[in-house]
Amino acid sequence: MNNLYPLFNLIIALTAAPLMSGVINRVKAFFAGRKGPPLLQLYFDIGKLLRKGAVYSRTTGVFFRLAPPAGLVFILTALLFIPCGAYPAVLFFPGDMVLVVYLLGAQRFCMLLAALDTGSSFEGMGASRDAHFSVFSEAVLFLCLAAMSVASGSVSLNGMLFTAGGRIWQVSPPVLLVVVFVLYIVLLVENYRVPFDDPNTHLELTMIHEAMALDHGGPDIAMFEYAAALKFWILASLPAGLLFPYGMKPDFFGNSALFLGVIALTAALTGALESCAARLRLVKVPQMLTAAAALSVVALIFLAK
Amino acid sequence: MVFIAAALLLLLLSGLCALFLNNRPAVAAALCATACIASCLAALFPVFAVFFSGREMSFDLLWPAAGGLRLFLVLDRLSAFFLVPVLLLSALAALYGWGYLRRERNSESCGRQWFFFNMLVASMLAVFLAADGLIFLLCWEMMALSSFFLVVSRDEEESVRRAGFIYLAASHCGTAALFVMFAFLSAAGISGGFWNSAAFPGPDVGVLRVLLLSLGIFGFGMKAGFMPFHFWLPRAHPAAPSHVSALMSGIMIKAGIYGILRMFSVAGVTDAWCGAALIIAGICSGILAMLSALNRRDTKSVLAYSSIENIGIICMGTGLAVYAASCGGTLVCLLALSGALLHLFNHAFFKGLLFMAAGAAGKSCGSRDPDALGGCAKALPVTSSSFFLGAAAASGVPLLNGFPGKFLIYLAAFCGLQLKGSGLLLPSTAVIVGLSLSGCLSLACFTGLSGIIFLGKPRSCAGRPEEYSALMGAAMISAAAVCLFLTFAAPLLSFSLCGAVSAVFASTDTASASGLADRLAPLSCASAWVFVLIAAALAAGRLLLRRRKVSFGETWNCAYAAADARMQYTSASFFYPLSRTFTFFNVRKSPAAVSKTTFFPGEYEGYSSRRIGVFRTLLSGIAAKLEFSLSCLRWLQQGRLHIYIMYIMTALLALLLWKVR
Repeated sequence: MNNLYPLFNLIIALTAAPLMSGVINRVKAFFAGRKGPPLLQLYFDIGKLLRKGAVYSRTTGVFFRLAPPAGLVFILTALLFIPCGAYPAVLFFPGDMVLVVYLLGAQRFCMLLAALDTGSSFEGMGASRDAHFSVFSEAVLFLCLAAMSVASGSVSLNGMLFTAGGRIWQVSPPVLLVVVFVLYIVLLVENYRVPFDDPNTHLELTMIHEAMALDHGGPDIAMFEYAAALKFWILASLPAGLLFPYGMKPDFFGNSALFLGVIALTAALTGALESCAARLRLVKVPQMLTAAAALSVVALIFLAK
Repeated sequence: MVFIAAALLLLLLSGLCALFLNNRPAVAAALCATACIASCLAALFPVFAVFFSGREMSFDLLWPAAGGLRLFLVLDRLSAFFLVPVLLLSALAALYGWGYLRRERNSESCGRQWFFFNMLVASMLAVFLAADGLIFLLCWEMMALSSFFLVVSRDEEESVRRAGFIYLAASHCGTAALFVMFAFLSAAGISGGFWNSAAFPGPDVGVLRVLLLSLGIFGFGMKAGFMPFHFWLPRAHPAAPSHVSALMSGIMIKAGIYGILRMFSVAGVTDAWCGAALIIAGICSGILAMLSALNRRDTKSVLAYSSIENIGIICMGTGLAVYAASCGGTLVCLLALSGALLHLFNHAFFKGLLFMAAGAAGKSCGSRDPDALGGCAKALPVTSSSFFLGAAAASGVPLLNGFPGKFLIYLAAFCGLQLKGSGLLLPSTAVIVGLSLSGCLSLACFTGLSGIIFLGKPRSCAGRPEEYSALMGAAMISAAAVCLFLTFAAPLLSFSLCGAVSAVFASTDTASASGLADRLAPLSCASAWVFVLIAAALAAGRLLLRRRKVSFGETWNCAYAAADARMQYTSASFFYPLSRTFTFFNVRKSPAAVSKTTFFPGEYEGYSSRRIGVFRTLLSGIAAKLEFSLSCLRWLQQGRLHIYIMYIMTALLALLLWKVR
């Protein structure tokens, strides 16, 4: 039975990931004084989109069709390596964090080419900006992983988040909090949230992630949305895994509930931030990410001491 | 060794025949291409034997009549590891070149080109085998000269002649340094070929050792083309025909890395500074080369910069290995060097594929400027899918063979972080950051480039392009198949990888081969899993849409229905945010002021330029200083033959007197 727990956790991640979008939207509605969409809105959306037909642009070719399923597969594969609270990941091997980051990169590769496949200048614009930001965010993510690897003495995500457990906090708690903060920034930029991108913008010129999906429809857009939800789950699992209280050894259901709670808290924080903060000017984004990189370098130096 | 001798002979003979078949280009091409493919396949037998068994072969012949020339060839595990891509890619390039040169208007140079092509293949084969200093330098020079003549094959163009001159000068500077190094080594009086460690001054002979190692890194680095010795690459590769650039970028620049590794195997690795220097050079090449690649108006120039980046990655791995070996991290050393070697092996194929596809697209569409192309994916299925495959590999998509090598270097760096107090923290962190930045930049660069060239709508209406030649298509498909195969075959290579590593660092044992295979196996499994899952997801998507309404329309352009192809994003606009962020590196002059008072400004001329010439200005600065300071010796250079003969006589007399004394 114990061997099946990681699989159960995977199923929880697969089913609960779209919920986070509902949490964010409800928090934003709360701040705006509205009632807001139901928590399960994204499930309804995906369900409806899956039942629809499709419209394709005549300009598009293979990549446009290939990108949504391929991107979803890359994200699903990355999810297999993410531990869940006090339980290990489904799969792990030395260096799996590199594979996870590069799988996210592969998904980006598909998205960018699908955007360029339409020949639309708006999608080209979104792709160009996404490519721009990713250069910084991936380096910052790698620096955080290096810091976590130094603090936990492990070269796999499982070792960093699950096996090392409380040990990772014995090195230097304030410095590790810095790492958590930087990981949260990476979460925001990789998931196209405020202050890096505004998912609610209605103008094609200002979109990044949404611009790349302008021409997709029906099941394709369902796959895009679901992949985005899973990506949020993956990147939220890293800070959530670090913050997870290891002192107690909860049973399976307690662990799952607790982990879900931590991730929902991350989502709620994102919603609150989105309600209070404005979007950064595009030229400021690299500066912000460079500052995050500097923070993680400092954390790495302190942790390695 | 019989097979290799036969291959060399066949290459030389067919090359010579081609020289006499200048007015029958079709015959020359068929003869030379088949001869090249046949000899490569023949030479693969012994190479694969050593590659998989690890038993060395050698051939030793003293030839007193030729001034004591010693034909000493050794095929050991390191040579075999480099020779597999040499032979496979040469065969593919020959097949490609056969189609590429077939419809060339300027057919007079065809025989000459094939002669030099076969000479290049033969000399590369010999460079990786030569174990005697003199033979090595001879082959090295032959390799440089034959590739020079191939670079200037379109010598009616001014830019090609200039590129050729720069290449020749750079290459000779490197060779001069190597001459000095080999002269020092042979002065130590060795009998067992120059690749033996007795000749190299040990760590206790400080200055001489540092001098020799620096000379070696300079000389071999000039060929490898990492920064700051990279300046000839982005000029020479676009000038050369595509099959030659594939060969030069895939293999020839790796000869520099081979030389550096051989040097370390002879010298022993105790010098952390060498490792640090290589890591710094690697990181600079990895990041700066990709920044220079953005915005290039020539596809092959972008690919040349990407080669510099990949050489940088290989350098980072090698440097980390040398550094780790000098401070006792055996595992880090094994992982880093095998990562570098694996990336080198894989890069040969995906970069070869990219150059071939870029050349084919250029031939089909009549231009290599990305902003003049667009939308040719549907008309050129083979070329475009080859390019996409190569681009995905170059961007490090885990499905393809560009990833496993980088993965091992990352893993080495992460393992290096664990060794607290060994001094590996800084180099490991630097390697991680360098790898991730260069990887992301190449992802941005290659998605933009391939998207702009092959996707969207055609930007110029020169008619529908067609695949240029079936032979080129066959070569590209085979190269793509090799790339795909290597993704899954990475664990199978681990035995030969470990063998090659232990040929450089004797301390690593071959028993770790299974450990290395265990580290690579998850990647192959993940690739296979992802391939299967993508196929399943595509099928599921099709199934879902089977009974539903699928309609076709125009791309959404904010409700503007008359968008034309010129409104698409170009490569200039795609890379604008990135190059703007890195303005410190990339200064763009704004176009001439446009009048803002009228609503419809008329025509104006503007230009943008870049300040990449850090090294160019540095080099020309040094050259100017040198010229100035040496101008007082100008009276020696009279330009008359009899005076030069007098110099030679005087020098000989002086040497004679010195010897008699």
